[in-house]
Amino acid sequence: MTLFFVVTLNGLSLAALYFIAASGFSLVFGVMRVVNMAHGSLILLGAYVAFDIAEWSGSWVLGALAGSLAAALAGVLLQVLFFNRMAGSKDQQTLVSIAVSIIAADLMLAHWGGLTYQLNLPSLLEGSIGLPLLGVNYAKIRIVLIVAAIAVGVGLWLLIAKTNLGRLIRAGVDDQEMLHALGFNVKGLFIAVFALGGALAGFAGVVAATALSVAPGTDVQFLLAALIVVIVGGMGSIGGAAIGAILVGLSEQYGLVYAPTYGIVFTFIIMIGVLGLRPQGLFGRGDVG
Amino acid sequence: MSLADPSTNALLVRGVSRHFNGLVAVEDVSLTIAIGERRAILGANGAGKTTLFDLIAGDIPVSQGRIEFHGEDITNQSVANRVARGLRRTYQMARIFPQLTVLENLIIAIIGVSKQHFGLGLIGQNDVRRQQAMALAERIGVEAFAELKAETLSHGQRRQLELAMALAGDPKVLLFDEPAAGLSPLERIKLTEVIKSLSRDITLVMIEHDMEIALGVCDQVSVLNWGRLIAEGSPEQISQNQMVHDIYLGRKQRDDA
Amino acid sequence: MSRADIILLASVALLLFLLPAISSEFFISQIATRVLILGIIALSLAFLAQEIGIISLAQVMIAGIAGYAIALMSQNSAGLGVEMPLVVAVVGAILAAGLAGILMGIVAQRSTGIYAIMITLATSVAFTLFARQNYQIFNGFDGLAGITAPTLGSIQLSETYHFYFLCVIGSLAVLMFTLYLRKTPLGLAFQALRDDRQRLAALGFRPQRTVVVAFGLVGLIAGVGGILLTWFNTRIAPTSIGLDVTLDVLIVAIIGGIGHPIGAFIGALVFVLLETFASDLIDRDRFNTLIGAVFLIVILLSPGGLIGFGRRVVERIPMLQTIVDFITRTKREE
Ligand SMILES: Nc1ncnc2c1ncn2[C@@H]1O[C@H](COP(=O)(O)OP(=O)(O)OP(=O)(O)O)[C@@H](O)[C@H]1O
Ligand SMILES: [Mg+2]
Repeated sequence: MTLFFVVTLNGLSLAALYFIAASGFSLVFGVMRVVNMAHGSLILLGAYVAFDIAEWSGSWVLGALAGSLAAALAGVLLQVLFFNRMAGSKDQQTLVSIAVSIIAADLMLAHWGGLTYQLNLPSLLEGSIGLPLLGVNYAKIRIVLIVAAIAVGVGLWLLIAKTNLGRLIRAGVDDQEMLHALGFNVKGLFIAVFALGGALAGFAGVVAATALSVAPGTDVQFLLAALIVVIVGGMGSIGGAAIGAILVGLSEQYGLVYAPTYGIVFTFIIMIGVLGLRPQGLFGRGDVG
Repeated sequence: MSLADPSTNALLVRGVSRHFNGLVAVEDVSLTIAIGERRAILGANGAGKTTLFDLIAGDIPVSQGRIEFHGEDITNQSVANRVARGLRRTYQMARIFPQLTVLENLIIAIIGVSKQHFGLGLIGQNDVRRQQAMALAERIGVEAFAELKAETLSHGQRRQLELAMALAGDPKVLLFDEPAAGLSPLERIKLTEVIKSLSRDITLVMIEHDMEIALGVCDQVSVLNWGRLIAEGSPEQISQNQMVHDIYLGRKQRDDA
Repeated sequence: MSRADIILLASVALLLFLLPAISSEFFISQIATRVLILGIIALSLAFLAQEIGIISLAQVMIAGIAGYAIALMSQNSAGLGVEMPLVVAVVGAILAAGLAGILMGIVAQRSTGIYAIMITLATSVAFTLFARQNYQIFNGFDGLAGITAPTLGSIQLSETYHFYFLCVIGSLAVLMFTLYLRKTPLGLAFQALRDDRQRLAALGFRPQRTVVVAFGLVGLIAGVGGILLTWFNTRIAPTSIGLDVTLDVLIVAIIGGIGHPIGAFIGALVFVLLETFASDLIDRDRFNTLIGAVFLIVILLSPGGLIGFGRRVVERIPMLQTIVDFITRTKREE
């Protein structure tokens, strides 16, 4: 029973990480209908930069800020250099982001090498705390991770529920002319969305590098997680991303413990099952395609 | 001919409604259309005419109500099943396959109503399907463009092509959504001829703003307004109906403005 | 097949059969053969994209399934599977790929555009991870090795030139298959589906079934490529079908252009040449940056790929256009 609870907690903390990783991806899609396959690269970039800055300054917080900022900047660059110029073709945008992710992975490999990086925990988060009812000690960082994901989720929810930007996302306005007619600075809006999406990716990288570790391939791992999470939860829906992340995180951890070889299969079966019932995902809007 | 006798009804629409998130597009519409009848559907912009076609053709599901086709309930049938039974439609904005040639568009329509959706036989020069397609093209008057890509056609030609596609196979009920819109005067004459030449085994339901064509070829007229059926009768009755006049005069003025 | 296609195919066939006479053994084994294998797999992606408008990133996985199938039905280093007669093994492997294609199609049947890309990608990565962890069938990370091309009577197919000719025949077969398909009811339905899926339904089709069949057919093509790939490498392992390979195949298909089946092979030629001679241009380790940049440039500047670029060049230069017209028209009048 204790094992079950610990595994569940592990699943939830993994879900927390996946949620943070998927939220930026889903946000960008929700506003702009851009599937940014380079999202994983932004995550990895955020982690690497955070590591360098944390090493240099000795401060985890500075590292985390720098990592998020670097990824946000990279996201803005993507929008300004590429997506902005080809608003029409979604497939083309997707292909461009794939090309960028290939180049980015290679350049990051050149610069940071094939090593595994781990961010040192801020001392505040080190160690473990006793869980009241279960009588086991559990790593603080994992609890913090869940709290952080909830904070990100609530923040995004407030953004979507309470701001003009949110109103647009809910209305599903992805028509530039329409936005313009409503009096929005379209360019500025899109850049802001990419900055936010990038910052979330960078933060996900920081968290991943702190709670786990990162190395070449982490980009693909998290891109895949984000893809499955939003396919299951529904593109563009923050609530959907949360549910999707929980499903994927739990199934991966249960799989790991109870059927080690076939963990990935569970995740996959969830995806297929959801697609069969609702191609647009659990919380997605109807316009698949 | 008794309209109450179900065996003679091509289409029976019973209390059909369709809402889009609170917007009422079609509300409690009932129609009884006999086999061989030519029925015009009139109504101002946004009255719900196209939505009614979408519902009958199965392109969108009804919110409420029941639809019968030649005595069979088709309310929950797939589009493919409805087509197989003989229901065909055209769209307000002609929907053809732009990357295929005109002839290929017609061939695909013929394949659609055949059992060969997955056929792997070559469609050669003398293939019967090609000949049927050519016959359709000639009937509608687009044979001169047979080998051109459909994307090169004019607005009116696309409409004609789509109409020809609807005639493929053995249609029983045709739903034409504004077939004359955007046609040249000459093309309109051709269209009227084609419609008049249709076998009387075929039932035709037509949305049309061109009164001359609508009232000229149809025996019965139904008028929709804000999703509801507000009048029904012969062309003479309808053209004298004050309410219909008001709505249509209103529409005309809006169009002219 | 149009006249122009027949002329094209005939010239390509002639060129490929004469190639050994004018090139080195290195060129045949390390370039030409690889171009053909890569081209076949890329064609399965490009054909689906061209005909039904769906970009499937599952094609390498499907090729890999044929590879694993042929390995399991042949003698292999891991001693897994059951050795079968050659014909059974080859046909079985191709059918396995077709079946995998059908299953992929069932999963993706309702999805288009970016959704289809994501779903096929997720499936393919999930399969690779699974194969890496499963030892009972896939022998985990090591995969199955020691799979050599068979011997037909006195012809040893594993010999460089024989294997090359086998790949030539395979390539021509799939090229003809795709060109032929375009003129069949099914092929027409594919193209109509790409133009307007809902409209096709309104003509009496069940478009989702057509999508599934399309995935099945390109699965067969990928299967041919997968068998050849496995014989060429004499092994199949998760790394043979990893994400990097999937992306390579995508790059090949897009660089070549999806307007005509031959594009896949042109893309493969560019890719393999770059791969082979990249070290003369830049640091060997930075090949991915180079190919990624080429990919990016092609997408941005010529969405139709090299095929589309070629077409535009021909259209711009009147003399070339005249020559092309002359060749195709005189033939058409026969
Ligand atoms: N898919 C949809 N989603 C939301 N609203 C819709 C949809 N389709 C139609 N409507 C609305 O339903 C109402 C009826 O539209 P419909 O197209 O049926 O009218 P119509 O009589 O064909 O008009 P027109 O003469 O302009 O073609 C309109 O208010 C329209 O905006
Ligand atoms: Mg209408």
